[in-house]
Amino acid sequence: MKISQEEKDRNKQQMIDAATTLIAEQGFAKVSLRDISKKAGMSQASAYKYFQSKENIVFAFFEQIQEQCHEQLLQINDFHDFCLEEQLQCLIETQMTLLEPYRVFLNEIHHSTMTLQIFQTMTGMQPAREKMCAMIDDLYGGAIDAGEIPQQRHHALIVRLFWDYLFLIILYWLRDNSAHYTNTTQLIEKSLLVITAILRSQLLDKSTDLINFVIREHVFSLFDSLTPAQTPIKNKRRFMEKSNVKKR
Amino acid sequence: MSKKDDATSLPNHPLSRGKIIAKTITRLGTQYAGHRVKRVLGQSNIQQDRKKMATTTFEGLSQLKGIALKFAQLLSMEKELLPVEFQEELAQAHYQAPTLNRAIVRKAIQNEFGATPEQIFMQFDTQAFAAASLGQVHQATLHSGEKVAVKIQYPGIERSVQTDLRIIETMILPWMKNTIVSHLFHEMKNMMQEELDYQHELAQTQSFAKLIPFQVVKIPKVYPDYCGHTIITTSLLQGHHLDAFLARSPSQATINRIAQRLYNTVMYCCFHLRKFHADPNPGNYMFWDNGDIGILDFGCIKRFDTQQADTLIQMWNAVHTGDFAQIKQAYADFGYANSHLQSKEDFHRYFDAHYEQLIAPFDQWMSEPLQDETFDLKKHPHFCNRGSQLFRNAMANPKFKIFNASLMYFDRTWIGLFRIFEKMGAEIKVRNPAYFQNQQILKEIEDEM
Repeated sequence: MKISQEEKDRNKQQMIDAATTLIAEQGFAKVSLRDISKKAGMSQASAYKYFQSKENIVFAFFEQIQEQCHEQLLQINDFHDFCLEEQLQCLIETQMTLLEPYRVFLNEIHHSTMTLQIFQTMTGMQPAREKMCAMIDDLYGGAIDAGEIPQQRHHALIVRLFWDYLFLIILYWLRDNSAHYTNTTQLIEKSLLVITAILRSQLLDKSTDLINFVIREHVFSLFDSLTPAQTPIKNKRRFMEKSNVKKR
Repeated sequence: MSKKDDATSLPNHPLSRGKIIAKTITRLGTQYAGHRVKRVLGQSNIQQDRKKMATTTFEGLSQLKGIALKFAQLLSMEKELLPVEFQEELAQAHYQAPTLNRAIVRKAIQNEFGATPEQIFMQFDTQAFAAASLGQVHQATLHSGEKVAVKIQYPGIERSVQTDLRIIETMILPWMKNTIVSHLFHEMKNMMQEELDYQHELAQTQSFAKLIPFQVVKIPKVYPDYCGHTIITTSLLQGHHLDAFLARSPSQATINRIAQRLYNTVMYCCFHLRKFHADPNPGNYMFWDNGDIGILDFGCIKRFDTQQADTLIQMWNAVHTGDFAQIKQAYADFGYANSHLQSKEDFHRYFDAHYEQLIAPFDQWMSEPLQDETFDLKKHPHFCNRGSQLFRNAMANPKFKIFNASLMYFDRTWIGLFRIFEKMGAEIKVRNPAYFQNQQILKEIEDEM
């Protein structure tokens, strides 16, 4: 029986909802794909068509958060008038707001054998990461076009670093007990000020230039001093001739 | 100013707040030292140096927001006492505190209502148009089409106010036990706590709107569905603030009419309603060309209990007639006797010894406008400076031991009110406060408004 894309999406959503609820209740290790499919009201076989493992559901969850974040940022009328710090802070805060209902779930994942950091770096996370990077790339490119920050040589690297930055913030946020997570908001604000200041001053480009210079000029010349001087060596025996001598 | 500069939130941590204070003091110190050296060398440009110091002070204060911003506002209220360069810088505290980052404004709304500004308002301007006490004000449009002003409290300000209070309490107060400063501090602490809760302001605004009967006095309408503890939404009054209003060069008749209305309204509140708007910052009043006035920001409200308003009137009359026994009785009734001087005898002895020198000059100043039918501020140059100076002299004197919070706030309101009249150059019919308690004459005032 062929099912429509709409139905597929609905089934996927049911699996994600079931997984986040069950994992929040019982912990990541104790929940199996079978439990999840049961909770979602599907047979294990059809559940398997969507997700081959529970890790995959977590990947899909993060991908969905990125899509929702994208949607929400589009709703802000004057978002293009915000400066880069404000835009980035809005993006991160929106992610936090979207993640808030899943705080217990995220805590459970983080405390399982697979910590959030491991999840973050897994290849399955690629689609979610690409989606976030696309947003960052757009904001970042927009700021460069508007002359807000200068062109950077390590454009792609900087964009990707934001993915790690997001997880850093999530980890801090999971431990933040202040009202309305004010401490996280402040961490985001202060750290983004530092990040944008680095981008403005092209510190990253300049420091790689500096490292380049140090390596070329100093480390390589240090190698020169390690090169042994050409001193006369006593005559050696010929190659492969020692054993031959014995044989004779 | 670059956008980056606006994007500063509150330094919350006690250490970071301490650091800003220390940095400001250090910078001021070096500037002052430089100024002294230059003076010795004969190259001093006093005005330029002062300007620099004023900028440094204001920068430091506004970075802290919280109590410091409040303090800056208080200073600018008493600004004629300061050098002119300081006046200019500090006057900015009324309207131009550094604004919040727009992402944080959104977050503050989401924290309070659990929804984004787009979901709550038809239109919301993320750029603030005015600074308010402990917050900033944004323009927005409700889905019903009504234009509103949304006042958002600086997120985290409650904590930084508590930190400031704790720093003062543990580091400064121990040296000031049983002085006016410690009383002032406790008063300020209570006031700050009330001002931090916008629900309190909501209730007060509604109550004043109901109680003030004058048609020409506009009080913003509150929208309780759009209010919380840190956000208050009111209708947008589109009048002019004092400076902008005076810049439109209104006629003397309009000025006098407006000043009279303001005087009547404030006196009506004090002596008829027995509660008054105790933040006479000019930014809290609005004026229209047709003579209407508007009152904003009901965060700082002070009450007289049933006795106090009457006692104050008696005191004024006694000052007018020079009846010392009556003045003393009034002060005793005010509850002054209880604050420091334990026994009745102590109070009498203290009062007999110090009244003439300490308090009488200020009392006389207070009742000066009431001596004639009308009072023309143009004919009394530096009237308010004289009052502030006398007020400060009394408060700063170590022998000054009596304190009453309601009376202090009333004095402040009186000075603030006359400061506005002075700036306008108004002539007002100064009715004795007792009139505002008399129902019949009150009818006359209502007709006059």
